Amino acid sequence: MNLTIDGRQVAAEPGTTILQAAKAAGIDIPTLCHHDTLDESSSCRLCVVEVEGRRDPVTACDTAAADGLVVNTQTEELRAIRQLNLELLLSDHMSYCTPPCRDACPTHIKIPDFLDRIGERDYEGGMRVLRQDLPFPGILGRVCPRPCEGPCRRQLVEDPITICQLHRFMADQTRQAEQTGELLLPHEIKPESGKRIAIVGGGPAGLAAAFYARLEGHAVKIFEAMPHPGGMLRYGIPSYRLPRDIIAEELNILWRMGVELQTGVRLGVDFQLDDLRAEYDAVFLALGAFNANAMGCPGEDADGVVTAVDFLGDLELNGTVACGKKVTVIGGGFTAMDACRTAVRLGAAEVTCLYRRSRKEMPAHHTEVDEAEEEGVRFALQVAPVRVLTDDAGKVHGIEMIRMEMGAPDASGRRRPVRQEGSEFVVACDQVISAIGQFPQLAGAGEAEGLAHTRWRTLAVDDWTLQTADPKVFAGGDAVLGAQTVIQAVAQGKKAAWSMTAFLRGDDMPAVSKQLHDLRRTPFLEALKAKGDIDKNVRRMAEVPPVFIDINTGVLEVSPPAQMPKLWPEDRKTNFAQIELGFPEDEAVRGAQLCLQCTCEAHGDCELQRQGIEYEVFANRFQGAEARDYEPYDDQPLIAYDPKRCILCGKCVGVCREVQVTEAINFTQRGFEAKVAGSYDHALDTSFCRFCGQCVDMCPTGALTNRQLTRVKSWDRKKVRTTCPFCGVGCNFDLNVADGKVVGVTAAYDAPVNQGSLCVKGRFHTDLIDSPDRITHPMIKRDGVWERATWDEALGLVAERLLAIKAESGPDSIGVLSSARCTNEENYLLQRLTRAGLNTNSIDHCART
Amino acid sequence: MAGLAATLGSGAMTNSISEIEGDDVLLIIGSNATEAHPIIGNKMKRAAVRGAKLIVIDPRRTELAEYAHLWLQLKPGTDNALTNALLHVIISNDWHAKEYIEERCEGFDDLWETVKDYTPERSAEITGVPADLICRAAELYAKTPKAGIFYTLGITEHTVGTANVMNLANLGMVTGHIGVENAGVNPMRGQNNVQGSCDMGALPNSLPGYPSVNDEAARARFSEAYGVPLPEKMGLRIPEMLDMAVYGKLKAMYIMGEDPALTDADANHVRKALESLDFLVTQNIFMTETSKYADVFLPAALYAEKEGTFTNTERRVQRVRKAVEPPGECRPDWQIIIDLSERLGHHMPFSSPQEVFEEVRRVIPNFAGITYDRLENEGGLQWPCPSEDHPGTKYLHKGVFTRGKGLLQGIPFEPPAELCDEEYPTLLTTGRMLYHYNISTRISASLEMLRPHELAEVSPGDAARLGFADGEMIRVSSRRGSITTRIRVTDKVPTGTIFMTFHFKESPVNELTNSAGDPVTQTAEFKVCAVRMEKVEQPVTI
Repeated sequence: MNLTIDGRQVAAEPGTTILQAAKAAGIDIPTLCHHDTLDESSSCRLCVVEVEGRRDPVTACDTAAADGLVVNTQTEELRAIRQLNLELLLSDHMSYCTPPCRDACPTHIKIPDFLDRIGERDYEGGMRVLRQDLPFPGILGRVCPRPCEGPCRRQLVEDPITICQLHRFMADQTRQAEQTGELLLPHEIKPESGKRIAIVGGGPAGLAAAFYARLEGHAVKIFEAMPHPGGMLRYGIPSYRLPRDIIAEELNILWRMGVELQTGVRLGVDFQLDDLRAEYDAVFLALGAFNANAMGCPGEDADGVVTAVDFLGDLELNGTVACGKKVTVIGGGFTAMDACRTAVRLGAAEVTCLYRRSRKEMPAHHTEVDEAEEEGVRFALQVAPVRVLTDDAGKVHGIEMIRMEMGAPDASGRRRPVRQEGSEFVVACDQVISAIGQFPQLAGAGEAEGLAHTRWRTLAVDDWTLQTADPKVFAGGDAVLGAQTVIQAVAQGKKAAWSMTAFLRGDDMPAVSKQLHDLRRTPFLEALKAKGDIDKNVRRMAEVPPVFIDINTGVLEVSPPAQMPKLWPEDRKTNFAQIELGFPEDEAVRGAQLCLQCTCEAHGDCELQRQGIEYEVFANRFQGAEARDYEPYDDQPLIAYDPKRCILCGKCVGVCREVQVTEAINFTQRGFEAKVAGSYDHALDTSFCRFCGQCVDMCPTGALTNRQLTRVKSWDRKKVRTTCPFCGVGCNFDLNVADGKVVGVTAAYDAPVNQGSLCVKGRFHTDLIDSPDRITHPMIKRDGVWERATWDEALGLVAERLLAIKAESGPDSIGVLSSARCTNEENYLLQRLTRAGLNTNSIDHCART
Repeated sequence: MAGLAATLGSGAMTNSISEIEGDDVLLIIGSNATEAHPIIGNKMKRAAVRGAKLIVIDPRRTELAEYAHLWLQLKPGTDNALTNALLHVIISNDWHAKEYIEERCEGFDDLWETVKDYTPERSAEITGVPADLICRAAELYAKTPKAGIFYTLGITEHTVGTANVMNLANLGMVTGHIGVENAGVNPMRGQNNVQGSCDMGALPNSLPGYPSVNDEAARARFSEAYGVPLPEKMGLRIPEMLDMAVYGKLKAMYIMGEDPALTDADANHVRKALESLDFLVTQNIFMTETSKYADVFLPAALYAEKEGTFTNTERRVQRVRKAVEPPGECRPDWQIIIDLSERLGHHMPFSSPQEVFEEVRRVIPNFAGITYDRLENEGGLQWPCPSEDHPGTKYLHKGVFTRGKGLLQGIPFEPPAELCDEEYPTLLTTGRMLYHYNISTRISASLEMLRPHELAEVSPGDAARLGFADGEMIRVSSRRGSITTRIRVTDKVPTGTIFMTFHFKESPVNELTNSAGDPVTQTAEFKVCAVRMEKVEQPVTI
């Protein structure tokens, strides 16, 4: 029988379907509800194909292949139908694959995970999760521009989760206990590697690098130019946002981990890069960006003109700084807001912020701008400085500004402001503070030292490994990025620590760079699979961007996010007291519980996800449609069932009924209310279900998952085919191995005896392999007490005693029991030992039936 | 297995698991496959759903009994009376395969001589199965060409175990159901590698590949292969070893991977034997009950930590592959044995399981065609597989029996060794349960969670009479011991019978069982003993 599929001649056996014929010919037709062992339900309707001579498309899974049939599987119309069907399936699939917040975070904090811990009031556990990616939640929880909150899916129904404040809350809850008690590290510090790392710069990048490098077991020393560590955290951010005791306490964790610190030493002045090269195995340059950009207008050298970097830095260094009565601040970023609000607190009667674009384009977080305004700061927007006006003594008395209007977009996509000639005006003031950007100070790290610079006055590094032209020297943070945010600096520090670890263990760094470059360019789902071959920390440096499918939230009741209480403007504008007061516990827990938990155990393994990406369901016309809201069945540790993720494909029901002949689960209700459930809608238990786990194999989504396996992501599991060690049927399955441990079992559908079916023992027994009850060394009983022995002692004693008994009482005074649980080879060897070594036939095992 | 070896010439499942779904009639006797062999149980249920007729012969209303066309609820230990009646009905109705018998079998007259007295009515009195049901079962089985017999320990763990098996072979031969596809006589082996242990010669009476230790030519062949003369005297079977230990004749035991103190019948007797030994070595993965009596404990690797092969119940040799390193100093059993053998003065020249298997291929003709390479490329292979171009054997005895002529023998019914009386009025029968496998699965927290304790099955009638409630603890005593167990009241068991598993050391059922053995194999009568059930006044927690 011959038919034509996509223009190819395909031979098919009578009785096969179009889907089977296509599959046999290597032509992939998408389906979510078909399995070779089951009757067809054609419920997903993804396998629609066009058959010449038929008016409408047909489902390939239940249409018989016939001689002469001409079939097309890939047409624009079919693609549109499949996309529509996927949108319909996804409109009632209340689970998100991977969290957008985590992708948006530069250091990719496991946000849903720590919010979940807060929801369960497990703050210590939450801290350990968080510190996998961010060492300093107390600091970042106060100063982070929170890029994570931008894409929060909660915004589809409400305001975003206050992620940033919630991780500060977690730090607040644990800080006292941690200062004197156990450090809440993501894992124990690894054994000493014997390698030494020098870090130049004690700002967020250098401090984060120190934390992660120390966790890997390296000896780490930080060299800091200023009198105290912290960099811009201390010398750039005012204490009303970030109290200094918080910095000291969080950094204290580093010193307790064994990180060394030397302050008051400046690269290129007090020591040279060569000194570090000689003494250390790797060097990380985290020099920061402490040089202020010039305004580039006449008069900026005048008395009364100061950069925000100096204004804020001097205040921190000296405890006081000269501040005018009428102050103008040029710029719209975080530093500009810090300067404005500091001037308010130092007693300035009038503070005006001058910025060349509109308010919503200000780089500072909108809450900062709002708070500055509440404190009396005035804003003059879309204006630029022309010149500084001075009196005869050279002292500032005003600044001439010009109005700007928005022109064509520039390279960054933002519209470029252009001068509106003739619109000049004067703002009277006695102090001008400029806050229009910073750049790195690279003294001691120049070409003379063997390093290259970029045309943006930053250090040149490999994009993927942060390695400089000198293989031993790495660089990151503002020195590489230019002045950026604290969280970006932390991300670079973490990445540098992992990169240096790879370098120090001898990885080929150009090859690593190439590997990361390639991984980043691999399509998302293939990239997930490819990850398994790369070291966990190294592959995360590639930062593979996920693909987000448009999926409903399933939220039926809206509820506002938790908002942290803060000081009233009148109470805060005269002092440097911390503004944000912290959460009451119940409010934080409520806020964290609002998280939609946009994560799924099946991520990367999910057929629905794969087809959603393949058919580009990135905007769903059924967004916001009515959804079913079900609670997960959460009461046994083997099979997890979350009906919200179920797309009613029916494969689990089919395999339970047709293959296992058990009927533990079936469809309940009808129409939109239809749901797969156990008898009487009870959770799965042994009264009906036999825990064969085959329904999990069938599930094309994450509705049914094997809890043993979901502890480790699929790409981190290696599979080893073997034969079941229990009854005599001889089922085959794949042991799943991760980090040298068996983590669970997956079925082998090509197994000759069981064709993928397993019983509860084959499926779930593997926790006995790693049991703490295993005896792991030979033992000899002396005077009735077991004592540990070497193999040599134990086997020596066995041989000696058996030979003695044989000599004394004859070979038949010894009996040997072999085992029906051991291998053929072992049984063979033991009978040979018995007959040829002991000279008796007295060998037996416990079944002769 | 001894039963089939004697009658057919080969002691193994005659047909393959994949044939089950093609059978039109399945005669399932003494097998609770959905619990003990779940994947085979599934295939049987699938066959039933498809329209095959199941004849289930079991005292308990097992899951398969629910799917049965005919359920013959016999009294425990009366299997032969029932089989004889089936044979009687078949032959007296002239439903037997006369040409097949003439051509391929011997001893038919001897058989008829015995079974001619077992009328359905007489057997009904012994077995409790109505005569009418016996006749219908006999007709259905005899008249259906694709009819297979399936049995397990329910047949063999009796004092008449071997006789039971021989009689099932009689049934298969008389109806011409052996040596054809989708039929046969199929023992489903209990443990993962029972078949392999027997094939490899871990038996006191036969060498690898089943030549008798008395077979001089075979012994000479193996003596040459091993470079030392091999002993001729038949070895001791397990119960004999234990008896000899108690008598002081057996001084030392080396026990690999077994736990007779928990799994063998009459545990008190076993413990006494182990205590009597001068020297006991146990080689295992856990500290077992038996290990408590040992002088040396050798820590072994388990299946996921080593290479090798298992042979399943349908003679299929399949690979076991190493997935992880053994913990601590644990070593694979094969390494331990080779090392010990060296110290005993017998050098074994192997450095891997594959090299051992190469010797197995050389010394066992039926394995000659199986190689690790083939197992890698083709999956499992079923012996006999005499050459590398042989595809393996799906079903045995095609055309001719391995033995030559199939041996038909009359097997008179003998009652179980222990019968109920006034003092011990209840029959105890034992078996396995889905969630555990022997004793080791209790180490798995996942499986232990599903079934943490024994749930002995007691009929509603007995429960009402003795005042037991579902889920309550009761005391069960036999002539040999006394234990407590939690019970489930269920009509799966008939009144007068209690069912227990042997997985739980807190309810060690083998304290109660009878070690009276089969005269051929010495397999103990795990399936039938007389007990007394009593209420426990003080609640006992386990």
